[in-house]
Amino acid sequence: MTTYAFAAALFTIGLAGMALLPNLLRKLLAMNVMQVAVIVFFVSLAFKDGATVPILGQGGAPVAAEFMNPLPHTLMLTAIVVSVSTTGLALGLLVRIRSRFETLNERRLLDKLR
Amino acid sequence: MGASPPPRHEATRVRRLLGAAAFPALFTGLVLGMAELPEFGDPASPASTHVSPRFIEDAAAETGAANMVTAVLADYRGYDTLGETAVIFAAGLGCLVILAAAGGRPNLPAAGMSHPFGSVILDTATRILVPVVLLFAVYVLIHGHISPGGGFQGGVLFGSGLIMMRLVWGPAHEGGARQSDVPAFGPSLRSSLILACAGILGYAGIGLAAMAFGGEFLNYGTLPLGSDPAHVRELATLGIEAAVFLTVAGTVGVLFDTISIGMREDGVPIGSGRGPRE
Repeated sequence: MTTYAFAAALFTIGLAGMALLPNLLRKLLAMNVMQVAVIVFFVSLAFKDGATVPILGQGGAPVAAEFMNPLPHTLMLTAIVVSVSTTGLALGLLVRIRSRFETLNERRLLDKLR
Repeated sequence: MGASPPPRHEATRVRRLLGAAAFPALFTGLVLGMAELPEFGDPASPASTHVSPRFIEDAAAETGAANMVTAVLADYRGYDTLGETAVIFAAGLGCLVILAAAGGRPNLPAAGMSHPFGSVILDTATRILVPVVLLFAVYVLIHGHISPGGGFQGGVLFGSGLIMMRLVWGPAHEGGARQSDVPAFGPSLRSSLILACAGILGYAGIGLAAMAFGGEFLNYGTLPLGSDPAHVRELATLGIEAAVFLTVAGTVGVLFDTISIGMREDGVPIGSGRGPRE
């Protein structure tokens, strides 16, 4: 429950940052915080009491109760990759915006676009 | 807009306060919704009982990969991972189009930072550190079957080693002149792009080879690499991971190079209209 609440807090902080911060770079960082919240949530769903990491050691046939759920881990590997890609692309866009308008402040940008 | 500025800013302040008040409500809603979730670590939770035991119990025997995450990622969900690799590649291409191409630079001259952070201490540290990082990246790639790791992780490590060299050493010098399109160490932007293309083509190529030998796309079992199907799948998975490694390492290089040439040598961003044009 604590981990879920932690993920919820991170998600709220990230979303609030995206909505309220005026600087586009800070918005991007807040979006990363939000993505991390989703990753924490999924990985905590994969946790099983008394289970170990989903890597087969020495020994006989694997028993499902002995290993954590590998599927959320795989999904979150995908999510991390997507998050890296979106961050890279967004940084590229920010460099362009900064070089065109000389500001990353949302309100000043809107004023210049007016 | 002919309205006087102060009321508008007054209005935005009220709107911002209202917006800020929405977030505690959102948090409360999320926590209340979580009361319905299974207990943390409950082995009988739905996520752990329906599909995942099948993968945990059969993955190693079917795919030859002791790391079940790798088995799911590169084998059962190989098609999804192909798309994921394409997403990374597309991000690199997007950055290239947004920054390098829009800056009107036909020859892609980019070799890391125009102002490297070089100093004796940094130079010495990178000389020791970077070879270890690059070697560890390859280790993480090759051991992705049997330990935490794989193509994505190894590729990012490899790319971070290359970025470290670009940050500290910057572009190469030849006869006192800066070779703006040749980095002091590692692939140029063009080579990074070629690496990334080679990776994603290799991935699709392995999938098509599986089709050519009578299987489905990315169903590696039919590849003529041996008689034991699990072993064949293990080898093909390693091939997939190596392809992903190339794409990720190349794209990390492309992303870094394109973003770092957004700033010109004199610190003035390209296209800003300030300073002398090239």
